[in-house]
Amino acid sequence: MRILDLQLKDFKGVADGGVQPRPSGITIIVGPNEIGKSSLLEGFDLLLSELDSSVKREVRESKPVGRDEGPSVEAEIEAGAYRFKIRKRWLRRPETELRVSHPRAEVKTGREAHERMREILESAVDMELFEATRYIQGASVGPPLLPARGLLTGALDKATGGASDTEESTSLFEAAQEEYRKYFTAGGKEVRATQDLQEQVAELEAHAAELRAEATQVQEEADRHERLSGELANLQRRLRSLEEDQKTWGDRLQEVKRLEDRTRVATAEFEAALERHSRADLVVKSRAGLVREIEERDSEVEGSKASYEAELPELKRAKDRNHEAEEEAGKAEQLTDDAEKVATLRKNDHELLRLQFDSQLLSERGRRAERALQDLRQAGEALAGGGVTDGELENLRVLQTGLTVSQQKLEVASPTLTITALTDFRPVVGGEPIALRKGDVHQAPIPDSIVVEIPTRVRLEIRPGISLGRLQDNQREARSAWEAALAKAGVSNLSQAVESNRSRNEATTRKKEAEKALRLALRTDEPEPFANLDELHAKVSELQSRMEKLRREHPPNLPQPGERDVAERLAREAQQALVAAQADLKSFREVARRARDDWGKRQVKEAELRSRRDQAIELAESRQKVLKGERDRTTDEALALIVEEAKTEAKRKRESAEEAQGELRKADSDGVRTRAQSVDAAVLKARNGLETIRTSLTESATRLEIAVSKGLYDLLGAAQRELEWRTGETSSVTRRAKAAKLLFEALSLRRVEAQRAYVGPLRDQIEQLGRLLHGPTFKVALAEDLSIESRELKGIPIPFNLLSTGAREQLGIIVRLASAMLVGKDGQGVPVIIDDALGFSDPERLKAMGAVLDQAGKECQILILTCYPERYGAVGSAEVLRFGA
Amino acid sequence: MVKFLHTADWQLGMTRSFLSEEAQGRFTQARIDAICTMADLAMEGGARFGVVAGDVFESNLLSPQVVARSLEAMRVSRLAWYLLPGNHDPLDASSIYRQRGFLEHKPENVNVISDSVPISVDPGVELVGAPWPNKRPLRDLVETSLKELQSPGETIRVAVGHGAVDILAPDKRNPANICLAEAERALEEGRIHYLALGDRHSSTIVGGAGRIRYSGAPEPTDYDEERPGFALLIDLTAEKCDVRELPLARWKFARETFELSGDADLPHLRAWFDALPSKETAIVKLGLKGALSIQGQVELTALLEEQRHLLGALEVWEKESHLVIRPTAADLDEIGLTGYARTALEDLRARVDGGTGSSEVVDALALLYRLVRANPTGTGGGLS
Repeated sequence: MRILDLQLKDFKGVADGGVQPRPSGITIIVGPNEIGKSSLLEGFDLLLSELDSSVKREVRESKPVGRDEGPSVEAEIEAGAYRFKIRKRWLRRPETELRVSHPRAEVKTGREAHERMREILESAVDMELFEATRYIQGASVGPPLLPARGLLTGALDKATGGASDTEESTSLFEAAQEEYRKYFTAGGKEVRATQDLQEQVAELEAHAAELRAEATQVQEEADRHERLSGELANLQRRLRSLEEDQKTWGDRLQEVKRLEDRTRVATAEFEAALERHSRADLVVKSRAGLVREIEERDSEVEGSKASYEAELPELKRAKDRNHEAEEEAGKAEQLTDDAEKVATLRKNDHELLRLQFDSQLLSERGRRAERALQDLRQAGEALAGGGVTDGELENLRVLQTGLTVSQQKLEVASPTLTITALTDFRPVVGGEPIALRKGDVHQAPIPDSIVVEIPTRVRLEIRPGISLGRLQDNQREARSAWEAALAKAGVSNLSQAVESNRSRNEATTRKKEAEKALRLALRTDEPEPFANLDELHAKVSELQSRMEKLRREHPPNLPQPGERDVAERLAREAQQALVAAQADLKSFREVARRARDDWGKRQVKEAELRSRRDQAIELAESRQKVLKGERDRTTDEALALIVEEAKTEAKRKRESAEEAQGELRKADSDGVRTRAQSVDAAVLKARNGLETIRTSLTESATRLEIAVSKGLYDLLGAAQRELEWRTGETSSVTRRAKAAKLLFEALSLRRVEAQRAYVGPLRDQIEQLGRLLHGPTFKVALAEDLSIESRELKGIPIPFNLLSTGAREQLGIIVRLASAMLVGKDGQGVPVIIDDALGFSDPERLKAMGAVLDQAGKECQILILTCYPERYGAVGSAEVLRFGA
Repeated sequence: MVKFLHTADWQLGMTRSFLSEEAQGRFTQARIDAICTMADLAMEGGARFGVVAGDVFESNLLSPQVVARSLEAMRVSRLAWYLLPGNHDPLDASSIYRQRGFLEHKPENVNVISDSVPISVDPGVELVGAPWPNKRPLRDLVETSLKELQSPGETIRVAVGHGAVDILAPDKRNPANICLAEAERALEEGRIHYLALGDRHSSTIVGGAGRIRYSGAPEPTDYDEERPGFALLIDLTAEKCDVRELPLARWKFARETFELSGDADLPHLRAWFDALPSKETAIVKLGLKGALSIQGQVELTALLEEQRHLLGALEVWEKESHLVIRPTAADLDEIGLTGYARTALEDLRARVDGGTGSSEVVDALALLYRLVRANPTGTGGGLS
């Protein structure tokens, strides 16, 4: 096998990339770590092993990170006589496409493509050897486990060239192997064709079984149909019999019904006669009851009349007592009215005198109030003119004293400039030009300093010994306060102020006196004061109106008492007389009320007794009328005759009913009815059953019609024929396969033994390569299974597992190269894939390994993946490809 | 006097799993062709009608094509046919005679005997049938159909039945067996004049009167049939019953056992095959006993494969076969192997000689022999 092209897309970290190794010789694929070199091998392995539908972990892990794409791998491979391109994509839109270009063109897709590819590889490639010759650093530090059969051993057979065995054996072995490979894969499994045959037989057996079952079902359905037909006939016969029974029992039931009707009629007639008898008997009893009732009513009438008559005298006595009491009460009422009039007259007289007194008092108070108001107005006017208050006057006095004191202090303390004019001149004093005549004296105080300038002559500055500023300020302040107080008081000096203060105080006193007089007049300190003078006048007017009214009401012919105490005594006496009259009146009225109540009760009782008497009379008359009416219609004798006749008729009807009932009992109506109903039910049931069976028959016939139309017998015959032929074919294939396997195993067993003798070619090949590395003393010892037992240098053997890591790595690669070289000579070789090896080799060994690889590359395809291209710098024949660059 | 054709057990549509598809087609067609053949012969002999005494069809579940072709053959034959439902095609609910395919294609000259009411088929001739109502009747249908009958007077009455006559039946307790004594009593009492039977595929006379007969099947159906392949032309009066067998069979079932005492007997087997006439319509079942060398076994296999292509069918008669294969020195010499192949060959042979060898070991040796023979070069027949 040779790998001609290998491309990855969306595979792990590789978005799109690949390599095209040399078909033979050495290809070094260089790329830094994590660029995806190992992905090339992983992709190639998945391409050969996994269906595009696989979701195994290895497949899922090949999905590109961060992209929702399905990983895909494509390779072009040469395997034996075949050359093909295979492309697969997994996970998303999975697909497989195989394009075989040699020896003849083929195109397949899907599972078929995968299986065809495997078929080609298994027929043309020793896949076990391909796996064994791969070297992966860290995982393969050791010699390969070379397969016990396959291309390598075939090559070894050839390599022995008959020295260890015969050509016949080799040829026969190849023929046996070819025969074996017709039935088994290189891995010893049955080939797909055999499995297909077995599956076909199983399917055919199942199909034939289904058809047999279906045919059985048809027969069962036919049997069921026949059974149903039989049931139908039986049921039809039974129905006919039942219908006859139905008619018989129907006739008997009609007879029973006739008897029942007759019995019903006789019984009804008996009951009617009985009813008539009962009614007549009831009428007789009713009449006797009525007679007794009338007697009772008459007795009640007599009783009620006696009660009423006894009540009448009592009623009259009560009426009289009431009349007398009413008269006594009327008299007392008149006396009370008279006393009341006298009392009112005396009271009014007394009131008139009291009003006269009050009116006079109030008029006097009104006059005093008017005078006080006048005084108040005058005092008010005086006060309105202003005047200095006592406080203001006192203040003026204090201020005047202060001013005088400050003035005196200033005058005592301050120097004075005195200028006496000796001639007329015009000095400037204190900045003020003044004109002095001769002899004039000009004085001026000197507060702080003063400048006297005689223009053009002299300029004098005079300063006192001490400062007068504070005294001057005090004096100015005192004057200002004095003048302000005068202005405020409205006077010009203290004398005016004293006068003004006196006038003011007099006016104030008058005002207070007037106010006091007014309060007394209006009674402002009392509970019901007058608000003002008008109100007082109004009160006086009211009193006078009331007095006038009382005077008008007083009878003109009666004298009025002249004194208030007389009037008061008369009024009190009249009132006492009135109270006594009112007490009498109350007593008489109570007596009258009681008499009136008693009379009323007697009236009610009389009405009740009268009503009861009238009702008893009316009821007695009514019942008598009824009795008379009934006797007018039917006399007592006729009534007795009717009762007797009804009794006789009832007896006769009872006998007829009993006779009919006896006949009905004899006819066993319940039994007949039960039988008739039972037969009816049976007929109905049979008819329903008949319908059910007919329906089942129709369904069964339909199922049969459908089933028989399939031609099951022919289908089953064809299926059994096919099954028999396939079974025979399978049996034959199985037998041939067993024979082939037995022969191949027998030959292989003996051949392995023979191979022990021909490990020489492999050993020779290994030693040839190894001498390039270790020199002419290099030798190896191989076991029967072609594994390396030891390495020998300069006559000293060292077991393989005791060699250094570097030595084991180098020897492991050499064994792989030697194996590939042996099988490569037949053109059926496998590529040697070395993934990042020789990490443990020193520079000299690396150079030597370069020569080894060069030598091997002449006879097989070698693919080296590395991120250290310098390790392989000595491999002169290699082609270097940059991956991921 | 009446002349009619008595036939039975056509079993139209029958399949045999040991036949290839191609042979099955011919096998089926031969049965249909026999209808016209026997009708022609019968009419030539003066037959007025034909009775088919049961099992006209192989099954009630045949495909419409088989039914249609069969009816077409009957139509073309022009003979008036009276078909009796038998145990293969009973008149049950699934009966082929009630299926639409049959009723729609049934020609005028075809009649189904669906009950035991006498049928007037020709002036002075009537049929009384005993059709099978289902696959498992629980009574003697022939006796049931005849017991109520009175003598027909001058009319010739032919009874038609299907099933095993009690004296020939393997299961004597089967209530459906036909009671021969009752049938013969009906003949003696003149209620019937002939009982045409079906079910037995060999032409057979039953009883002493010569008026009760199985016609046999027109084409053989199995190896154990003694005289299949006929129909009967019956010339019947109240006084006489002449019967002529009409040969029809085109297919043959042959079953043989051969004793092969060594490779030298193989030519006898070949000669036997060569002597077989009409191999394409022959169905052979072989029992082989004896011993052969590996070479002989290889030759035998080749012979059988060759004959399998020529015959209608070739089966192995397993219970009569016991053939031992013993590798001989001659075998080994002829192969002439050397090296580890020779050692492997001796390993296998030792297993056979030591009795631990199975047929697989023999097959492996035969394969080895074949592989060597397939590449005969060099001296001693060895491999190059």
